[in-house]
Amino acid sequence: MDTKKLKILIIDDNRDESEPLVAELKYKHDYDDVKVEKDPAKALRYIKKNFSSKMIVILDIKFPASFPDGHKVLNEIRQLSLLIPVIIWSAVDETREEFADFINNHAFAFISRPRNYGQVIEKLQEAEAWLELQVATALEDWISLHPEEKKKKPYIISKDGKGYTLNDILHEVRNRTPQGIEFEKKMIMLVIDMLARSKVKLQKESE
Amino acid sequence: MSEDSLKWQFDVSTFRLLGRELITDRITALFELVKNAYDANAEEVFVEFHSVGEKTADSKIIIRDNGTGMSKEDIKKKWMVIGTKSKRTKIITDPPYNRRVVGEKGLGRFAVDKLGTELTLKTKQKDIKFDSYLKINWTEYEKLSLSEQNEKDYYFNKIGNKYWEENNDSDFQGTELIIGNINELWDKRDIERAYNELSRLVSPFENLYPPFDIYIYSDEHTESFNNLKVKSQAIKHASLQRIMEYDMDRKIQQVLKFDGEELKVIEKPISSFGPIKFKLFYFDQQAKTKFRRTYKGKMGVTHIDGVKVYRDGIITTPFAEYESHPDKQRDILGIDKRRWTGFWEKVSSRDLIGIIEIKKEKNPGIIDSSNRQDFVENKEYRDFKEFIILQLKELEDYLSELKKQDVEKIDKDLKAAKESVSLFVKEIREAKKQVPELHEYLDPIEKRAKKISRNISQGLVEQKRIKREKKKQENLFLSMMSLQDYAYEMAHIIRTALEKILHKAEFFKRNYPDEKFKDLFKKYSVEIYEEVEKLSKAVNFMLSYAKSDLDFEQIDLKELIEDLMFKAYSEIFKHEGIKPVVEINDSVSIYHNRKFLEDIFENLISNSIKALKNKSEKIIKCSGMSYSNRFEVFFSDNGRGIEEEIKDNIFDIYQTSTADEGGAGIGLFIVKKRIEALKGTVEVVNSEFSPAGASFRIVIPFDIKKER
Repeated sequence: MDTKKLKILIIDDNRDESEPLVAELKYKHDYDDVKVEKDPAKALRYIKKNFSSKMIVILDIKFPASFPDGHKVLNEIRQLSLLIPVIIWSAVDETREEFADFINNHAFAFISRPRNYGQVIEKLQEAEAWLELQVATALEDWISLHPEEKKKKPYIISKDGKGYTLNDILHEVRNRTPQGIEFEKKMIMLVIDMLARSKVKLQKESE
Repeated sequence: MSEDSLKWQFDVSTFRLLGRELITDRITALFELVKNAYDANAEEVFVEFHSVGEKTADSKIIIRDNGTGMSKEDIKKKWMVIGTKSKRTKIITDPPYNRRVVGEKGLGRFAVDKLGTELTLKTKQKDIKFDSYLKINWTEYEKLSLSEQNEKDYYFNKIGNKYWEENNDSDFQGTELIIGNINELWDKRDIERAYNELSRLVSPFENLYPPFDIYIYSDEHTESFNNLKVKSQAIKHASLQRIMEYDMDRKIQQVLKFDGEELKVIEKPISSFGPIKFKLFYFDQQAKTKFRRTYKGKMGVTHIDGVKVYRDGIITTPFAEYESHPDKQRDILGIDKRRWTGFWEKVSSRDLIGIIEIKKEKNPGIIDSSNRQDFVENKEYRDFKEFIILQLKELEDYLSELKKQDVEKIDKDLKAAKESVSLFVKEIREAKKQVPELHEYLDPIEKRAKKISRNISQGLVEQKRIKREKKKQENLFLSMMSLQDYAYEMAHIIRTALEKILHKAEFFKRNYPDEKFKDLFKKYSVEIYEEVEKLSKAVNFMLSYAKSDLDFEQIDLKELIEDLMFKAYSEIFKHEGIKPVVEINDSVSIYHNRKFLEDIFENLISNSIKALKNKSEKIIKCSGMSYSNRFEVFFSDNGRGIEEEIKDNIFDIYQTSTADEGGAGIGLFIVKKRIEALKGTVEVVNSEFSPAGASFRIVIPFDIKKER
């Protein structure tokens, strides 16, 4: 199932590539890429460009004056996709910071600073596991197997006559739209049905 | 299947609970009922206490007025309707009274309930030919609802209250509330208290016309309370008083300003909360004694109890209740809560009487809060509070100056006394020379005179010592306060540095001796070392505050400033993205205390850092020029700048806004005090980075006397 490797993006104006955390992530794990971006706007562009990749984001809250803060960045990411876990790692004063929107925007975790970065790596691995569990991820993986032109052709006609390409389906699923949830449900029902009728097996039978 | 329409019911205890929230004590209850009479255009209100010293069947409190009275409809639709603050239909009463309505709709019945559980309401309007009566008995409801629980529904909105009419041909109008089964006993002192409180109801300066007079009667104390008219005393014996008024045509508000010599009244534009009249009476120790002696035992006394606010001639609720116990006194204007009280001669609520008169129409932003114990926290109210504090600040500066002059006078007097004793001794010696026979006689006198002279000398020395001590304390205190500012900034730096060290050490822990990371181990070791060094420097700088403050030395100002800007603050500047610029060509050497001088620039830097938050290209610049008799320093930043309104007070205000960003918020105050101690001046000038930012011009004269 693990057809595509994970990209890690750290959005923080106070970190750079020589950090211990980054060093470990790069050389002790098998990620596709580990990137540190100080400018939130550039970071968002990076996410959009790598939309078809699996990604986990580590996000700071405080940025210099002219940049959007962590709250806005999380919001932007969520507009793009619900499938990008975002771990908030920040030194803010927890008694004064707003947390409601972090929860509502489904931040995956919050780690306050200063803490050892081992905790961050642990959370990263949790986020990875979570991603694997998402049907949407499976769908993504499956859709990504198709060549580009095929992804743009209508694949399904829905009840109301609208045609959906594979890319459309991907978009709907990622954003948990009603249509997307429908697809997901149908997929799950299909698999259960196939399992029940022994059309497929979950694992190879022991010889 | 049953179908029905169900209605809400009311339990009487809910109703009474509500009342308890709205009317917390019996004085407030009296106030509300008297206010209602005012709103009813009454010219007279009688508050009568009958047999209230002991609980008898005849114990009653009667409040009767000669206002407009109520019709049956009024009773039905207004008095009998339970509601909280409903919208007022009338804001001004009928002419010729044109009174701004001050009572709150819907509170009357709760006020009555606070005083007693039985009410007979009697009311008549002018052109109606009968009296209307209404009888309400709360305890009856409670009894009924408890006893007949399972039988009938005795919810109090179901129970009828007796209403009847009796002929009355006269033109009389008015309302009488006869409250029986009183809740608490009233002794003579209680009634005196009621008198005193009611005397605060009307502003002592507003001459209400048509009149509104309150009379108090007590059948048990007719020697004092035989329809005694409630009068507030004039405020006499203040050692200092000022009146600030306004002019709507020219749109100006008078405010206080201490100009170094006198406490003047100057003009400023009207503030956000609208124009106000402020009468301020200050009492020094002597004045307080005179005041107490004059008004001892008299009633209607205004206690020296701080600032009160009157709206349209009637006191606003938060100030209604006089609390004699100082711990329970409500200081909603925050006069006694100010920071650093106890230093620099702050005045408290027990030193002054302030009468502030506002109008509903001119000051709509100042609104009573719904619990009636405070005002609504909005911008206008905050500005209002700040305005009051500012006036007190000017007063305090003036008093400070007077005190200084007093001390100087004592000094002078002592010196003069010493002089005259010396003269005296001289004359005795002369006399001894002239008339040697008087030797025996004059010797002891001379001895005694010399002793007196020595005592005076000692006194002078003691004075000097006390002054020095006080100065030392002040300096230490000021240092502590700028330390708070610095500590906040350093906390951020230390936190970041610690995390860097933590992560690098953690990396070692997790991965050493993995060959793959050989180069990184080397790199991180160096970085850990450097971070620890930085931390060490920061801690040392903080420790320097703990050292004694008294050593004097030759200090090169240029070197001092450069050390601060390029060394001590380099980490903070790097972290904040601030570019420091120092342009001092020829420096000057001062014999003074290093910490003292550093404090000045540290606070300026601190202030600039705060002003530069949320800016992109940050610059702090310090330039200096040496002249024949002085050294001038310009200190600038391109930050938020200083608002026009507070430019004059920038060195005095302890704004809560800067407290939010950390630190004591009195940095500039310290700057000014320090520079003044050097006999120098500091002022705000046109920003070097105009239109943004702020610039300060500091002048330090050369002939600085050594501070001993």
